[in-house]
Amino acid sequence: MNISNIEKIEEKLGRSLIPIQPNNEFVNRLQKRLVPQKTIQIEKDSIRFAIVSTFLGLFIGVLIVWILRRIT
Amino acid sequence: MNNNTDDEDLIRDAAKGDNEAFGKLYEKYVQKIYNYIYYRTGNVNEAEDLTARVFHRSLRHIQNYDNRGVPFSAWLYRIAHNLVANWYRDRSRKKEVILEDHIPSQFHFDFPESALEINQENEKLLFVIRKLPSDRQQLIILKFVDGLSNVEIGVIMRKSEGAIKSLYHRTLDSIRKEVEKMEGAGTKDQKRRKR
Repeated sequence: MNISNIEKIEEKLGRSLIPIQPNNEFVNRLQKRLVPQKTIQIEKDSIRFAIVSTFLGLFIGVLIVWILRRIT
Repeated sequence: MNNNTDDEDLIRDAAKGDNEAFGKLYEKYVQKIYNYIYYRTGNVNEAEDLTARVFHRSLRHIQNYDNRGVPFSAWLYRIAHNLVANWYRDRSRKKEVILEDHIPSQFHFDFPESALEINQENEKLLFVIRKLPSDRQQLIILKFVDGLSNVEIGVIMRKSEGAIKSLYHRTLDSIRKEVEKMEGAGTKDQKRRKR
């Protein structure tokens, strides 16, 4: 085996076989498929809705009682 | 193949269904696996497809991964190697069908190097590497592209360090002979043209 020729081949291989960067779009797309992102749900502010519905319920209740009293 | 202890924690968590842990393993090894497959197939699309398959398979079977001196990266390389071998087998079957139908086919290299016509020498060398037996291609790519040591390559290929060393030297010698043969044929062609 000719050592200098073997060294030349090693040098050539070192120059030719360079690590390459995969396409970022591909890497991100595959990551999304493999590792589904956690979906963050933001709770809606329901306090206003609760207050309005409570008062509405009370108003309707009082109205029904008033109507019933007037009928009887 | 360093940080094996970090990997162990991530693997344990990933096996329990922790997606984030698997995501970290993916980020750590995707480029290495992609490079390995890219240089084995010489095609960007195939490299992307097979890399995706490697990680889907590893995610499905991560509970079966048993660290008995085999690092996670070696496990991934073995999956990649098997998928590439299947790809070559399927490809050769397709070729047989094509030959039976008498449709001419051309072997096509999809390396960006050739597309940009950077270096004829590179193309020649990559062509020679592609002609090598599968285990020799694997050794050369792991050595030069991924920069692994003989011991690390031995773990992946299930061979001793000595066996890898010997295979490496035989491979270099066969590459040298093949390159010299091609160069000899090239100079003969040039002489004929001059005449």
